Amino acid sequence: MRATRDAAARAPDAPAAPAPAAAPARRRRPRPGRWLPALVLPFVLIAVWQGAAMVLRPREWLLPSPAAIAGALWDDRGRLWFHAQATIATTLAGLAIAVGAGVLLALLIAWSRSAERAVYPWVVASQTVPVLAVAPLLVVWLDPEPAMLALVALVAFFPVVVAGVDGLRAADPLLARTVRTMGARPGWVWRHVLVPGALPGLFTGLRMAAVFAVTGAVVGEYVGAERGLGAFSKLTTGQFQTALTFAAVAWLALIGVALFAAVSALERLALPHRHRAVRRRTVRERMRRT
Amino acid sequence: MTRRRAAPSDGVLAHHPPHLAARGLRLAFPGRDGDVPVLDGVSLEVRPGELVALVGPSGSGKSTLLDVLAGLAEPDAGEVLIDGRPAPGRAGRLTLMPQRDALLPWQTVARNVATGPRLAGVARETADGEARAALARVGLEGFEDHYPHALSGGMRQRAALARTLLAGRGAWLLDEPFGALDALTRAGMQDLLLALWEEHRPSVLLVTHDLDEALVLADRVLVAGPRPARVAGVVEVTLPRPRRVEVSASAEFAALKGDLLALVRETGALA
Repeated sequence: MRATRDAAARAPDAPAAPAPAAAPARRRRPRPGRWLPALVLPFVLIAVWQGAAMVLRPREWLLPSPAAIAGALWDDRGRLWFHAQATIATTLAGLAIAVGAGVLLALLIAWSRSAERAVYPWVVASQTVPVLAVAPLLVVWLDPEPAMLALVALVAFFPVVVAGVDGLRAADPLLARTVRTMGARPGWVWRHVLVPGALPGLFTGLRMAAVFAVTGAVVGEYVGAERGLGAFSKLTTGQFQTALTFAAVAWLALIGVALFAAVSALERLALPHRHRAVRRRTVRERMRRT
Repeated sequence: MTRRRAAPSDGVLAHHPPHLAARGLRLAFPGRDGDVPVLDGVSLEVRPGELVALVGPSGSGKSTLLDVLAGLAEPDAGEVLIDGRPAPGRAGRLTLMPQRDALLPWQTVARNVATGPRLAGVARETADGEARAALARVGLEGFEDHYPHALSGGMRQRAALARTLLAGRGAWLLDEPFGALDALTRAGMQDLLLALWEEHRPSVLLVTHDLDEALVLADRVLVAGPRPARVAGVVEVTLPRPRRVEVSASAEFAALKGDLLALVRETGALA
């Protein structure tokens, strides 16, 4: 097993790696132009936007031009980074709470039918709480810091629970049955069969949670914080410094994408087997190969 | 252990109890219109080192029977004896090998095959060594560190057989183990099973709906009736051992197959 892992890790510069297990890694080697498609859409949009701004000349506080936003991003980089740090910290801490609580709840709900009946409806109901309405209350009840974390956790734990429960429930019963006849106790079945089987699904939930967490943090900051990109956008909107608001939005997008990518990288580390490569195939690839 | 079990009163000291015995197993599943009987008083025996086949139509409750024997389900009535003793909590004493390989996709082939020894508390290195030796025996040298997805169906079933070999404490329950393979691969697997059985002499209950497979492999073939399942008849397979799949071309084989078909027809499975 060690040998295979090494082979997979080496694969980018060792296309001659012998094991078929290394094949998916070889396929995923960063090709030139891998990132290009992601840049097409913003390039086109920004070009159209810039052109429109130059021709129609809207007032700067109503719609700043991309060039103005880029200027703001650079000129106020210190202030933006100061606020971004707070947002990143809140997002990560809240996400950690969401993942911990979400996984525990998923284990509980997947384990017992009565736990499912007692808990699951309320997990779902919690998502109908209007976050914007509760946020000010949370800030009043708790200190701003814990209120923020609670908000992030509230919006981010849900996809973790749903994906975790479905992943655990989707386990192939044959696998558990077979190892049970080899003397596996329930604890072993959980550790080596149910949880590894649920991981791919769980990571889907984690990716969603990572992006939701950023939204949660921004809403919290918007309502009740002095520092953070949410608070900063509120301030700059109020001062009609719209270019700065857009700069904050650009930062938020960057944070969201970076978190999403980080979770995907984590998934790659956690699931080094071919299972994942098969899962990642596009629909078109699925129709072509077996 | 056997010595302690032998009852001096009946004076048959040399008599070994069957390795695996079922006595009057009954089981019904709750259905929409009342309980649906699945097992209707199943009794059978597998003597130590014996290979017994159970043939019956699909959906006749064979897999349920194996679950009960393996200790994954409890019967409504009847009992399962291992070495002549009632065996509550017997899960882990009879190893199941299902039709699909049931290898864990997130573990390498060697690690999968080492499952039995590792569960038995054998040190990791030792278990790994045993797994590699077993894989070499079934012809999978060089694939130890692959993940199951990289293997063909036949190779995966070989790995599953190696895993059963290491995990099974002398008693295997094979649930149509080669049913999903093409005919040639299946013949190869039957040869391999025959060889492994000769080497290790496990007590095997093989469930299949392939009459040829049952006759090639088994010492006795039990015929199950359609649902609810019960054992309707037995054919003693008198073909000489050691066998290879070529035995199915003999006249003796044809005669036995005639007997078996007659028995199967009697149970109504051909109707």
